Amino acid sequence: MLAEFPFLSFVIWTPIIGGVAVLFIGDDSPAKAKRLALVVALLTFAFSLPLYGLFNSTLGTMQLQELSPWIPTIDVYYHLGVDGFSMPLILLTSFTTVLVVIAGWEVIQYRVAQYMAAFLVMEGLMIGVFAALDAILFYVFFEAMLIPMFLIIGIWGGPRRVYATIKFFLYTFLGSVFMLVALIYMYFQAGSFDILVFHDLKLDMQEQILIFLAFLIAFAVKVPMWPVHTWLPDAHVEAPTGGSVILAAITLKIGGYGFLRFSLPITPDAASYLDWFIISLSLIAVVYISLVALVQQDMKKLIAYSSIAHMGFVTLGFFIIFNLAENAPGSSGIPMAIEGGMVQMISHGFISGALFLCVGVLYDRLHSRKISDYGGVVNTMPVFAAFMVLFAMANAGLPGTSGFVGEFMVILSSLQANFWIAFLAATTLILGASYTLWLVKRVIFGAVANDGVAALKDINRREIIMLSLLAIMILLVGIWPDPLVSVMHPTVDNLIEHVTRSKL
Amino acid sequence: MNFVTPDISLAAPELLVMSLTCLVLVIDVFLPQQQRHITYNLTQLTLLGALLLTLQGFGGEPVIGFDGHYIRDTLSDVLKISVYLISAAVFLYSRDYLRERDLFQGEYYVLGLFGVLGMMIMISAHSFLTVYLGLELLSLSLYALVAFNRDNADASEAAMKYFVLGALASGMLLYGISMIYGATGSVAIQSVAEALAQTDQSDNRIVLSFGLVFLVVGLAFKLGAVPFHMWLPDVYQGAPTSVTLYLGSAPKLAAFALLIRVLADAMGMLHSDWQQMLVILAALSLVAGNLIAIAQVNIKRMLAYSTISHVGFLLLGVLAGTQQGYSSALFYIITYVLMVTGAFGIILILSRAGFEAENITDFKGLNDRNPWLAFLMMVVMMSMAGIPFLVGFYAKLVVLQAAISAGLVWLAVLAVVFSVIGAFYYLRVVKYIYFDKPEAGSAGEEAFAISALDTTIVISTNGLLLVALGIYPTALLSLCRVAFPQ
Amino acid sequence: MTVALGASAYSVAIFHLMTHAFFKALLFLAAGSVIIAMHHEQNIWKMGGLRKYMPITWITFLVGTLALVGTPFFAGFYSKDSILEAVHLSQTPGHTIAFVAVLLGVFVTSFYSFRLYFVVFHGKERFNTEEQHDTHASHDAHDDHHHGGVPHEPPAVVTIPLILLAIPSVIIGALTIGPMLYGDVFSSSIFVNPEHNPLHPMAEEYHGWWQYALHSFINVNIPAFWLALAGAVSAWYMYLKRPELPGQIQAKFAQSKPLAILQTTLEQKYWFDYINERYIAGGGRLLGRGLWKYSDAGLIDGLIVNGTSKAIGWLATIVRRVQTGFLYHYAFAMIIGLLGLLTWVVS
Repeated sequence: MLAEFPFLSFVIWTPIIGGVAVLFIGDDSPAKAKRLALVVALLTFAFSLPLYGLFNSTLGTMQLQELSPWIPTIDVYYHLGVDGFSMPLILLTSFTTVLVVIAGWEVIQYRVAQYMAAFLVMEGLMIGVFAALDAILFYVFFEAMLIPMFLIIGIWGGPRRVYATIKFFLYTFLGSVFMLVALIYMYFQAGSFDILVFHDLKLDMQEQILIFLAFLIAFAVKVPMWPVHTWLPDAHVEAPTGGSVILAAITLKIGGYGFLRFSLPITPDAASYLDWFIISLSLIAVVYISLVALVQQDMKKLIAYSSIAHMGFVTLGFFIIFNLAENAPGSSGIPMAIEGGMVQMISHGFISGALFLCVGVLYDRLHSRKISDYGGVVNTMPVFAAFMVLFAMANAGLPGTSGFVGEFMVILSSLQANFWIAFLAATTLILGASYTLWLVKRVIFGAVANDGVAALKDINRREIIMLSLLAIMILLVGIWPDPLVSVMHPTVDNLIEHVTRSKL
Repeated sequence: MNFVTPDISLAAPELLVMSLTCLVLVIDVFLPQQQRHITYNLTQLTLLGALLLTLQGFGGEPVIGFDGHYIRDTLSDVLKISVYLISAAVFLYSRDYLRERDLFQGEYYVLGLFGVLGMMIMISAHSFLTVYLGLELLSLSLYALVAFNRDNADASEAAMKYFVLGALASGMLLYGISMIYGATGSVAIQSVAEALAQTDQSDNRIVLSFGLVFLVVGLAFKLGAVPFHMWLPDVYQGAPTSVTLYLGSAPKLAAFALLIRVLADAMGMLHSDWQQMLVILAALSLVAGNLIAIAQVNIKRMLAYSTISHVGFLLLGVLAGTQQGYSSALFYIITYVLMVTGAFGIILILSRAGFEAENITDFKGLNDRNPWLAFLMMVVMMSMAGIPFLVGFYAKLVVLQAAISAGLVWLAVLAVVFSVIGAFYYLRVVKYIYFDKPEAGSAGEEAFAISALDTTIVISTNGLLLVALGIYPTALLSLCRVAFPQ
Repeated sequence: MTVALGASAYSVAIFHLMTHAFFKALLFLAAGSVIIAMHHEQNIWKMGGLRKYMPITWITFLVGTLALVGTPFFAGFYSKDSILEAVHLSQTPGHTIAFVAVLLGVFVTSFYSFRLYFVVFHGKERFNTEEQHDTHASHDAHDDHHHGGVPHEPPAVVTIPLILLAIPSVIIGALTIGPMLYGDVFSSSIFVNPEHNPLHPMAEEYHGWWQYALHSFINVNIPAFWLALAGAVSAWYMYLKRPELPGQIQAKFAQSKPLAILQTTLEQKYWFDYINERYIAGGGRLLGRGLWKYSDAGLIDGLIVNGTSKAIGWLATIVRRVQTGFLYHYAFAMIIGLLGLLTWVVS
């Protein structure tokens, strides 16, 4: 009975319709708009919670499916469903949006209703991406996300926002159009746009490689992987705090999710054939980007680069499995690599969101993101400093925080595949610690740098709530990752079965 | 001599429009300037009457009449209804604009109605003769409309160019028709198709090919496909915005009908020949249209180049040569006309006495002055760029589907790549609207204060239709499928 | 401890870890106490004679030092001596070198520990209350507790832990050596290959903690106690009795080049920090900056991304020139197009 209730539709459309309602309240009564936005965000979160409860974690198949005709003329259906990959990501999305609404509470003064509405619509679209099981439906949500994000960066962003947002838009748009062509091509092979049908679609090697590359462009831009990552630092730096949080916490995950949902099961042979390529790009992301992160003078840029490095772990985990399947068939490393990548995605959602919120807290007070404008913040904002240090430690992968779990799982399984891959991946533990701790050292510790820092006020209750929620999640996943890992276990097995079965 | 009176009820909408247009013409002569709104109201009534007549006979099996020169089928009904609705919106958007410029004269409406009549004839044409008749009626009305503001040198120059080049294109079209006639012995579309299908045409191969090329060139000119597009930007920019709106919207529907009637219905057997030509035209239009649009600062001119790129997309659907492809193209052209009407409509609303919202920079900070119009303009621009949950996306989706089904994956890839480049100039408009602060004297300052309630309602409907169709495109898409039964 | 591991005396290693935890914690805490008293001054040459001002810290520090150097009956003695014995009895290759090194270590440890002790708590009072105030202001702005000119014992929050740690530093070794090394605390959790378990012969000679301690005074094989004493005495002689001596030695060292290099190397901690700071961290930063400026910002963003957009913009301005505005150009373009299509189709 309860399972029949279309929870997924509710989780998708509540924020979108709520966002439109907020828009109609108008910018003239910001207080009302904010309150409604918070109610909508909380309501969506409430709707998303039953997903975890109703989800049968012993099954690796799609659950809570909804299927109804949408554009039957071209065989497009409104087909939703979740598995162990999408369900945690939906929860992450609805959770993060609540934080973003709280984060913008006092800070956003310009066009409050439009701001809140953009985030709510964005939330619905992102959840739609995770829930869609029809390729066109997926693509529609995937692309539609661009509009609110384009506006968020462009309207409420920093000084170079126009450059950043147009770059962001065109970069991701260029990435995704190839995917559209690939999807249409597969439609003519399969006679359906259903992603699950695509999973079992026979494709020859040449087709697979071309389709794989089309998907790769789309998702590599989103993740982002080196060398198509350059939109991210710009977008992050210029975006308002909430925009950075959503970008880092959710939209990057869509790239990783795309690999799991499309690339791996649809083109397993091409993925296996080209896995060295993805692994190389991932390792470059880990080492190269970490080094670049080390020298950033802008806090947001540093965290943005660190995001790229951390997402390198995700792609590494997803694509190391072919190497493992060859060298150590049946080893426990195969599911562990994918689970590690997934845990890393969720954990990075919390950690990067938390770090961007921390930078936002500082930016709201001093209106600078430059590391050199800070120093000795601990003296004036001790509570904030405690949070920031915790999040930094998590970012560096300290055991006991969520950042450790995913990285450790991926490194461990890479080690079963190849020592040198694992070695290069593990350098991030050093580099990650260097750039994060150095950041913390320069910003938080030391003597009070200037009068601005001396006059800082510690975080208020709203900010404490916001950061505590994230801190709790980070520690929870770090100490007890089992509830997260166990829900995806059968799904991972199901995926591996698809991936290891050749389509040729 | 056996003179059979043709069943004139078949062409009732055309006859109604023709007689009422003559009536409007006469009445208008006797109206004083301050009662000019009567002309306007009569014009809208004419369109309403035609709409009702067309709706009355909507659907059903195709009927061919007037000795095979005329056809009424679902396609013609769908296109005609679109023409009425779009033209009604066009006349409405233009009303206040013309009034403020002392251009609120009967000629605009009379010529406009004659143009509508020309479009209707083109849409229902079932022989090359009727095709040409309708085309010339439309074209002559358009030439006159472009020059309608006779004090404006730019407009006169544009009209002159349009006229000369249009004459050249019409000549080529006629020449093509004559060659086809020479090869098949008929001008009626059905007979031509039958002749091509039955007899072995190897003797006439060269003549047919030449005829086909001339036909395609004539059609490409009307559509504005590269390299026969040269008139388009100059005319769009030079004509008064209300005329640009008129000429950029409904006639595209008629041109599409022309394409279908001539290429698909008559020359369907030569599909492989004209497909190649359309591939070239489509590729060139996509590349040139999108590229040159980037460099524009005048929004009318930018939209002219954007039209060219959209023609490229439209051709993707047509060149597939399947019923599915044609219906995709129909869907594309209807949604495109809807978008372009909205875009020029907003430009018209934002233009005030003594001020033309012509440059893209005039849109600076529109969101701060008029959030609703800003939102509508963003919807139109994003829809043109093909971003989903706006109908423009599905239009692109279905024509890409058609192109890929024809095996032209490379063309689909080219199209999407250039649509990304194209997205840039649409985004630029959104950028000015939302990200920049308003400048003194830029558009939208008192927009809604001077635009009438009906205009507001219609432009809102127009914009929201793009969203509504974007969320649920099935209705329109099914209609387009019905127009091209398998 | 590592030596003990090498000699397969794992339980000894853990035993040493445990005793070490107490007295090292004590020493650090006492050092902290001194530092607080000296207003965040860590340079021992600006201290001296502190025993008068902070007796608790003085005594506990002394206890810690005695434990550290392995004075019989103190905690450190039992563990250290057990290690020495284990190494002595070990048959592992290289055990002789290890044994000598450890013995040398006993001397050196004792020397530097007592040097520290004497310099800080005995001798001249080298701190200058006036000067301290001056450096203070610039040194740490966030010091908010009261500071007078004369160092004094820190509050109970520091002294009580000191005392609490001092007690086990004395007695823990004597109390636990029996059960930990020769009892069955680690009954099965530590596995040692019986062939070279040095604990077996050690157990045979073990007759309780009292005997064990007394034995060290007369143990010829392992003269650890005497070495430690020697270290302490030399430290006393060099830093209290004749404080000018180290300077003279250093001067002599400087005259001979290899010795000077040796000294600098030692002063620079074998250059580890230097290499780390200069080449590893600095190299990382340099590499990062290079990758960022040249690869990321220059090549990918500058050339490929923005380059493409610039190229497209440039192409647009070129292509738009086709649109000349001249009617005959337009007509000409149409004719060219027509001819092009004709040749395409006919050929």
